This record gives sequence, C-alpha cells and structure tokens, in this order.
Amino acid sequence: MSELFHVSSAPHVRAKTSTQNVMLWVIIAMLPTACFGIWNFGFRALLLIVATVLSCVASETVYNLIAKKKNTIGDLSAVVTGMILALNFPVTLPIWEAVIGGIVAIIVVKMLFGGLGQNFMNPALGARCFLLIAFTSDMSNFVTDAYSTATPLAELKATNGIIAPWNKYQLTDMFIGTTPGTIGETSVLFLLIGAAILVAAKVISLRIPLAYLGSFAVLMFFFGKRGMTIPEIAATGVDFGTLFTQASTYTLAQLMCGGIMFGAFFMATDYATTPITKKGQILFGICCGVLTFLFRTIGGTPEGVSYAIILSNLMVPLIEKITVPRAFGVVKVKKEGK
Amino acid sequence: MNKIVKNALILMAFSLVLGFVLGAVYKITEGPIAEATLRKEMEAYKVVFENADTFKEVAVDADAAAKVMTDGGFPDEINKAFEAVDASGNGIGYVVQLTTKDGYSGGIVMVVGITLDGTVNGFSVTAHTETSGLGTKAFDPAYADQFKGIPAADVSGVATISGATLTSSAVKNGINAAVAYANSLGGAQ
Amino acid sequence: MNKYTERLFNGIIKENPTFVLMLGMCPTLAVTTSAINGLGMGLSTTVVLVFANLLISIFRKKIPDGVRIPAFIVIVASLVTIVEFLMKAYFQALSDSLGVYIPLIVVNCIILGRAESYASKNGPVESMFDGIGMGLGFTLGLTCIGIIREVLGNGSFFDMPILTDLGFTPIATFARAPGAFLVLAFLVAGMNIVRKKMDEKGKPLAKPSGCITGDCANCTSKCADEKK
Repeated sequence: MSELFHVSSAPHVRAKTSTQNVMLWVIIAMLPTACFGIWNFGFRALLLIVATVLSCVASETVYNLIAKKKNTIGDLSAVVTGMILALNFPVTLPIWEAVIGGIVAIIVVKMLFGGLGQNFMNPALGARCFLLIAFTSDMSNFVTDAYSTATPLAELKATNGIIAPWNKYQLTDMFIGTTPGTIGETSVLFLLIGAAILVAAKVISLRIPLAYLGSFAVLMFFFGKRGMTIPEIAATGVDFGTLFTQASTYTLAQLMCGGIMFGAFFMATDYATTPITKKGQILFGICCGVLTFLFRTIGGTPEGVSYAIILSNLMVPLIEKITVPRAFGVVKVKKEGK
Repeated sequence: MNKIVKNALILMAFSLVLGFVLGAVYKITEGPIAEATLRKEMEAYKVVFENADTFKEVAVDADAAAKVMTDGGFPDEINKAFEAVDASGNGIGYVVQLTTKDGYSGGIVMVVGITLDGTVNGFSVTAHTETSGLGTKAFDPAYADQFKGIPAADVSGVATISGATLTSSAVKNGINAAVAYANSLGGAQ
Repeated sequence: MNKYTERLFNGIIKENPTFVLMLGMCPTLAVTTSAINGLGMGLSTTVVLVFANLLISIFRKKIPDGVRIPAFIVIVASLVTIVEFLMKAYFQALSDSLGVYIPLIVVNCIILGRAESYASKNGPVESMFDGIGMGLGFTLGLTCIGIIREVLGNGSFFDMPILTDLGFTPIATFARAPGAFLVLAFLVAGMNIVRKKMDEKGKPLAKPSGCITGDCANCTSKCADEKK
C-alpha cells in the first residue's frame, strides 16, 4: 500500500504522543494491580490474563487478515483491552470462556464498528457484559481455594449494609486488597498507584474519575442503605455522631469494594467512548455515578459498574450534543423584539 | 351511500359466517383443551408426589388460608390444594400450589408435596421470573433434592445459596408455608 | 417448471421471506430459541398462510375494494384463532412455548403482504401454492436460526443434547434476545455478501421490504403493493 501524504489546511497541532505511547502507559499503570492480583489469587490469574490478551491480539489479526486491512495490533490497544477484560474476571473463569470474551470484545464491539476510536462502547466492558449474560454463574463464582466466602460487595448487598458481617473484612483489608473479587478490582491501593501513574503521564485527567466517584459517594452517603437520610437526621433521639460514622464507613466500603475504582480510572476514561468537552466529561462522570448508585442499591446483582459505564457510553452522543461549545465565529442570533 | 352500505353488508356477512365457524371450532376443541390443561397440571403434581394415583381438588377457603399464613409469618399466598390419593382411594398427603411474595423478582409459583406424616415429598416450580443462572440455582436438582423426603421441621435448617439468597429463602418459606397449610387441612403430624 | 412448482421455488429460494424479503422479523427473533419452536411456528404460519391465500383468492371477486383490508384481516384473524384452539387442544407443549406469538401471526407481514399482492389477483390453486412456498421458505429461515441459537445457547439439537456432553457450557446469550439479534445480524451480513455477488452477476435479488429496512413510513403501502 502506498503511503499517501496527509494533506490538510491549518491549523495543525503537533503532539508527542502516539496511540502506542498512550496504550503503553495504560499497560504500565495496570501492572501493579495485575501483579497484586496474581499474588492474591495465584498462578491461574496470570494464565487468564495471558490467554485473554492473546485472544484479543489474535482476533484483531485475524479480522484484519479477512478484511484485507493493515494489521493494527502494533498500537497495543488490543493488549490493553485484553488486560482490562482479564482483570474483570473472577480467577475461576474457564479459559475458553475468557477466550470467547476476547473475541467478542475485539471483533464485535470494536472492529465491526470501525476499529480503534470508532467503537461506541468500551470493548472490554461490552465483552464483560456479554459474558455476564452468557455465563452468569461462572462469572459470579468468586469462591477459590484462597477465599471461600462471598465478596465484600456481595456481603454488602445481601446484608443490606449491616455492619456486623464485616468481621470478615475490615476497611484496611479492602484497601490493600486481600479480599475475594475479580482479579483486578480488589486492591484499591494498587489501583490508586496505577491511577497516579496515568495522571502523571498526562494520559487521563481526573475530571471523569472525580465526577464519578464524587457523585457516587455523595449519593451513597445520603441515600444509600446505611446512609444518612434527612428524616433520620431530623428524627429526635438519634445520635448524630453514630449516624455520621455509620454513613461514612458505609460509603467508604461501597467505594472500595467491587469494580468502581477500577472502572472510574481505567474504563470510564477511555478516549473513544467519552465526551470531548470538559463539561461533557463531568456530566458523563456524574451519569456513571448516578447509574452505579441506582444499580447497586435497587438493582438485582451486587455489581452495577459495568452496566452503568456502558449505558453512559451510549449516552455520550447526547451529552456531546448539549455540551458542544459554540464554534469560533458563530454568532448567537438574538431573538427578535425582546 | 349505497356503496358504503353494500360494503358494510358484505363485511358483516363475512364476519357472521366466520363467527359461526369459530364458534363451532371452539365447541369442538373445548373438551380437549380442558383435558390437556388438566393433564399438564396433574403431571406437575405427579412430579412432587410420585406415589399418588390421582389428585382430588380441595376447596381453598381464602380467609382460612390467609390466617394460616399470617399466623406462621409466611408472605405466601395459597392458590390451590389437592389431596393426593393412592390407587386404593386412600388419602396419602397433600399437594399445595402457592405463590411466594418474597422472591427476588415477582412471585414464584411453587407446587409442594407433603405426605400425611409431615414429610416434605419435594417441590417444583411452575412459574417464576428469577435471575437465570443465579436465582434459578435454587430450582436445580442439586439444591432442590435436599428437600426430598426430609421432615418438615428440617426445612429451615437447609442453607440458602450465597448469591441467590432471596430466591432460596423464598423457596424455603414456600415449603414451610405449604406444610403449615397442609397441617391446617387436618392431615399431617 | 409448471407454474405451481414455480411458486414453490419462488417462496423457498428466490423470494424467501426471512432472508431475501426480510418480512416477519418479530416472530423470527422471538420464537427461534430452539429448533422445534422455529419449526412449529413456521408450520403454523404456513397453515394460516395457505388457507388465507386460498380463501382470499376464492372470494377475490366478491370482496369490494374499499373494505379489502378489513376483510382480509377478519379472515386471517379467524384462521389464526382456529389454529390457536387446535394447538391448545392437541399440541399443548408447543402452544405453551410459542405463547403469545401464535395470536401475533395475524399481524405477520408475510400473510397480509401475500394476500394483497398475490392472492387477491390470482386463482385459488396458484395462491395455495404461493402460500405453501412462502410458508416453507419462512419455516426454513426460522428453523435455521433456531438451530444455531439452540446449539450455541442450549447445547442441544432439536432437544437432543449434543454439546453439553462434551463439557460445553451453553452460551446463555444466544437463548435470549441479544443473541437473537446477533445471529440475525450475522445472517443478514452473509445475505448481503450473496446479494453483492448476485448483483455482479446481473441477477439482482428482490429488495427487502420488511421492517428491517427501517422504512416505517412506507410500511402499510409497501405491504400493500409489494411487486408482483
């Protein structure tokens, strides 16, 4: 194929980063979490990660072969999708199901819609939701040799947030990550380290994660199952101090369990599926936060992050429509006779 | 005007004739449909009470049934009850069809078989909207068979399924409710 | 090929309702959870189609133009109700699986479409064969999709477990709505490849005229004057 020169008129913006660079930083940022996941859950976690990444890369290669296009695996986006997807699996997932997930993520959600940058929802999340419907029990099986109890998230949901069963999991356990869960979601500590790397490398901005986590936390604090609802505050004879500690511990627990940390920093910040304007991004983050709150409190399964983010992805065109800034040179027509 | 009347009359003629034909077909198939529905229900009851030969319907007094439910603290609603009768015509137990109200999503319609000596014969689910793969684990033989042949008192001792807590506890409550109702009919213990 | 077998060939291959004309997509998506359901639905629709075509063709000179559509609907609705009674009486299991989609046969575009475009303009025997052809084509389409969805979503083939014995966990998505759309999407993609090849050969296939074209505004008029 000949290399045509790309001709276009000014203004031109030059940037040092390339897709490959960005993807490399994302991989590096996920390494702490991945390593902890392998340490926490054992060798099988490594196997799952490798298998999923290989499946994604192979799918993209095969698709490009069939569609007679240049192979795009060099931009490392397939590797990133594979890693994100694998870190969202329970360590007990059968390998062949993980491989199918990789194929669906790359071929159906990404390539069939136009490849990198054209996907309408996060490919890893799309595949995860597909697998959630396809293999519900396998994807919700968090019982391993190391951990034989339910995940903190499931405990929170089943007990409606009553503090007592937390004898099993202290907040510190959840922060460091020695709890059951999907491979990448348990350790808030290492996720935050990864997020810091991404922010430092200027790959992501904190806008969406803060909007997401902030709106979620506020809603949980006031309206969660063990939050401080206004009537409770107004009721006489209720100790404000204990209410406050209860609500804040509950909110912290909700923030640290399940996939919300992982989702907020690594999945809700995907370039192709989020709004481009600043206002739009904040709106998007709030959208994710509200939806996650709703799904986690009223929804059926304990986890709400995956569906919340893909629903928000679907709303991005709408969000962009209402937040797109006035183009330079366009004058707002004043209404007549006002 | 004439054309409209003519059209209307022709349409009416078609409708009348077809109406008659429909009525005739309905009459012909009425019997077989009722038989087929009954057969399907009987098959469901046979599943929970294999030793029975036939099932005789017992009229459910709605108020009495509701009282039994509230006394026992059961959130279920009794729909139908049948006395299981063996080949020699003796009553050997009861089959109770009820709808649970404390499942995960909507009501679960369950059929429970209870023998006269207070043993749970088994249960089967005829309608539900529980989460497939999670809640439906409570209906799989691996879980459901635990209830086959156990004394009614042991039902509450069976563990719920983690990840399907609501559905499995609804099932347990349903079985207990059925036992309570069967007792009230004067059969068990 | 005499004109009767031509009608059969037309309905099954040349103007196959599911793959070429893309009519009746609603029951196609909803009912094909298993091969038996697809087959059962297809055959029920065929029965209604054949008798509807027959009756409408016999009475075609008697039905005034102004009340054409109401008359067709009355005939089709009565036929569907009869089929529904017969199924409830003698094929209860199938009737339960197909559920509400049996009464919905009344609004299946294929039936009204063929009544409008063929049966009201041709003789009874040809119309009957047209009904058989279209119905069999529809059944073929439904059964194909049903087989794919059953094998992937349930590991069985016509209710005989084949893959589950090999330790294959069925991919539940295919047994539900998302899977239906996915399978249909890939089949339509395949059909488009065939269309392209036929266009290149100079033998273009009939244009799709069903809901899948997204052409909702033209629905009633398209149903009414489908070519031929």
